[in-house]
Amino acid sequence: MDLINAALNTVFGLVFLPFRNASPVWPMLVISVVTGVAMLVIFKATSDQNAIKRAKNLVKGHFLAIRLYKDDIGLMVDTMKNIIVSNLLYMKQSLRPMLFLLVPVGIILIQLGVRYEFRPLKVGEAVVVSLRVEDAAVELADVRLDLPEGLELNIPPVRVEQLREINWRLKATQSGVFNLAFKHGDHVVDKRLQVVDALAPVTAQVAKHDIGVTIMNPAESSLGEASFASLVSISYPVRDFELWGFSLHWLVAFFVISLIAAFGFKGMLGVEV
Amino acid sequence: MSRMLQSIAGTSCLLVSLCLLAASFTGCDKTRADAPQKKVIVIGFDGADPDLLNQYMKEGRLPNFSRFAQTGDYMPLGTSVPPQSPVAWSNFITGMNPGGHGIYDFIHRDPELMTPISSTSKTEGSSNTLKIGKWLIPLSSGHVKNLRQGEAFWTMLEDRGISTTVIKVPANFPPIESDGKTLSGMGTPDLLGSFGTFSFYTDDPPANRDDISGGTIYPVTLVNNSFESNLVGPKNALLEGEPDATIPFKVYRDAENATARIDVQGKQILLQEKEWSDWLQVNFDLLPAGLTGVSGICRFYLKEVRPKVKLYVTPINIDPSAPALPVSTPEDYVEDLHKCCGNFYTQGMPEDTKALSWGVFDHDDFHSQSKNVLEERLRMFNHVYDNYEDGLLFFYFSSTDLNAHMFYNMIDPEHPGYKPELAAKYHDVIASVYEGVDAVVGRVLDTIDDETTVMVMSDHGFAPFRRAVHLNTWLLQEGYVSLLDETKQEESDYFLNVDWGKSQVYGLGFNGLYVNLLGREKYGIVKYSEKGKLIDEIADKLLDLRDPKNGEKIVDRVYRASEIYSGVNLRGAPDLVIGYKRGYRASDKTVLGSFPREWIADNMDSWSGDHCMAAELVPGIILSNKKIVAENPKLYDLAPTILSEFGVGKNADMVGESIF
Repeated sequence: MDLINAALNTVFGLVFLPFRNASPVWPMLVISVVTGVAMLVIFKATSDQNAIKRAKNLVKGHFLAIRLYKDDIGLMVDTMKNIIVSNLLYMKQSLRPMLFLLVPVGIILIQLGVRYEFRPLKVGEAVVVSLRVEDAAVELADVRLDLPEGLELNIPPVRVEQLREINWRLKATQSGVFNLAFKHGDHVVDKRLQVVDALAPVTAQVAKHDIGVTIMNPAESSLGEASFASLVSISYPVRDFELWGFSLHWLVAFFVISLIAAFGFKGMLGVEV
Repeated sequence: MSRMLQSIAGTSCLLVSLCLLAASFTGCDKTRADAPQKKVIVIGFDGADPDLLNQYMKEGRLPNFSRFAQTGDYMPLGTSVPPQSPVAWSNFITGMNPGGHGIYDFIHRDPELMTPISSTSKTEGSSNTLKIGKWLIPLSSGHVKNLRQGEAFWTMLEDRGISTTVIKVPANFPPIESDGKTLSGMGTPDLLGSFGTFSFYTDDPPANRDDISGGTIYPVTLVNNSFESNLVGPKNALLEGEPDATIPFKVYRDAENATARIDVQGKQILLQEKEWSDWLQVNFDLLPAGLTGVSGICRFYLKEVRPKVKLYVTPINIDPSAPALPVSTPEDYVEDLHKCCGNFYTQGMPEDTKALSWGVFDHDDFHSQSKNVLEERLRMFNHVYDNYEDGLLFFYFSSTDLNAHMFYNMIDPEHPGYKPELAAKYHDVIASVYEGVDAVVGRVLDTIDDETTVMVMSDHGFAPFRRAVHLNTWLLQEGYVSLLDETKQEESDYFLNVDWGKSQVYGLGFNGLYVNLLGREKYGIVKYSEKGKLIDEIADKLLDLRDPKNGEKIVDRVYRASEIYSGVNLRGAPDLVIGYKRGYRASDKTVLGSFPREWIADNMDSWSGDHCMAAELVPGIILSNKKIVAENPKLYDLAPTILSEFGVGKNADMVGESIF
């Protein structure tokens, strides 16, 4: 999984490279539009366009029947039933292309997510870093955190024995990409902490065995088998995404823009959706 | 081909539009293309006292106030009768006395019910509901009503096209309809609808925890260094019985360090002892699955980690990013302020004086909170001032008032609560607050042009509050009040033990005395023809009243409503307003209808300075860069003055005159 993530990180790193000094809105606009168009192309290539057209025409025909025979209750009921059946047929035709779209769109969403769900710290901000240790042989009191210059420990750690977690609050005094080194005896667990005022991939969690965490946090490798920690979390601030002055979740922005683009290019590419 | 070209053109237009829209981000600042207007800037420092100001200026601690006083004009400013903030600021807002705007005290009474009520606003829930199981679905909306009458001067300016920004002025909740930018101040409730209810979680609850007002003590039990409890939010009016909406949270204490972790709604907060958290947004669900809810903000303060755990939570404030009640005009102005200034206290009186009075806070705790409030307010001032272009700007600071209330005994060796060791530590707090706001005066003076009018003012001054007068007990001892059960004299409040059929008068509010008048009060017994004589008799006795402790007079003067008030809202006026001498004030117990055993007692509360005395003894301040020609300027003169600066005449109801 780490190898796949590394490859995807490289690709998306290149995609975002031209926007490194731009507002986060621009890459969102461009990627959403390109994704919208790409989805159209994939949809066209993987669907039975004629069958979709037939299914849509059937639905339209049934709606016309409702308008024409609105006085005939029996016919109306039949037509309603037909509309439902036709819609199911139409949805069935969409199922195959949707399956083809699932993986690429999922990858795009994950790569957007690591950039838009959270944002890196800013200089002067504090963040909670948590380390979970499931190995009962490890005494929480024996775990220490070595900080590079540019980060400082805000307050002494909080060790929660019942959750087997240690929590630190760190304050960024300089910008940069820092390495947090959690140490227990000779064992070291590393985790990156981003302090930059830019759109950068941030990894809120890295896990030892949790495949879900690894898939959703592709920007850093999972903790190695030798790791004494099972999970490291950083509570990065949630990114406020604004589009045209409106605050909205980046997912909404992505889907709205890609749908607008898809509908815009639908006619040009001759795609029946 | 043409279809393709059309499609390309259409799509290109769409994308260009998207790009242009994206490029036209709206930030915090807004620009206006109108012609420039006259500028008038009024900065209100609640409770700024001329004696303290003079002292600190003389000591060289307030360079900007001193510069302003020397280059402009500086005088005491006559306050309202009685000198209480809601009354005083209503005088300021309307240019009327209480007879016009109808606000006579913090507390009014409902003569139909004979119970104390808030004077400034009234909340009414939905009158129609539909019951579905245990759920009550409202069919009409409830509302909050601002009870202040009379036209605010800024709406008169807006009617003439003059732009206005009025931030945090007291007695303006809910904010009256306005075309300008306003943010409500004192009188704005917390999410529970109270003027501020803190929560305190501890495994060492005080014995008097049920008596504590202004907050709730929640006993907790630590298991494995952690405890669980709930943040208590507003009543859930959608559920039968209106139970409290709650949010569970969990606290984990480190086994050795003086630190703790608080988990609330998926967020983690780490705090060390004596530390405040940032503001936290909390969402109370009112319907299942988050179908509807209400959002608030609060801050945690980890007072103590061990040996006992003590966690204070501020009152749940109305969330400025999603206000549950109207706190600004336009309604989204508060959200704009939030975007630019972050979260802030929307509650009217943010400094938690009750927590200090009841010992939940010590002076350090209160001082740290007070500093948070002032920092927030200064940040907001700087933002608002940066974006001010022209027209009227009014900005209000509460810190000068509430710190003087709570730290006056640190500068008053004659106060019964004066402790030299505490005074040595905190005698400078009030001065440091004045120093903090001195920078505001400096910033304004350094940036105005010659055409701008600047006024710095306060609503009243300050005096020591050494002895608490239980007025109702005195009335009882003098035979003007009778109790239903004398053996329970001290046990009931809100006048519940009063035998109205045998009581001629009652004291309510901080300065008011009312006759139990036949035809006006629900159980009135005194005929209108007997009222004047009764009032005269009590007034004479009050003026002769002496403190058994030192023989000093207690009351400086008494004011008859008929002599000092004018306007169309005289119906709610007290019959007699008592002007106590400096050092004396009505006790907290008597203002709400309680009857302690003694009629006067030392004030041992941290609330040790006050102004609910004779108005002539606690004037406010007025500084201006224009010559003040009025010999005795008064608060209600400022509305006509501001209007006059813009060339707008005062309306017929205003009793004040321009001071220039």
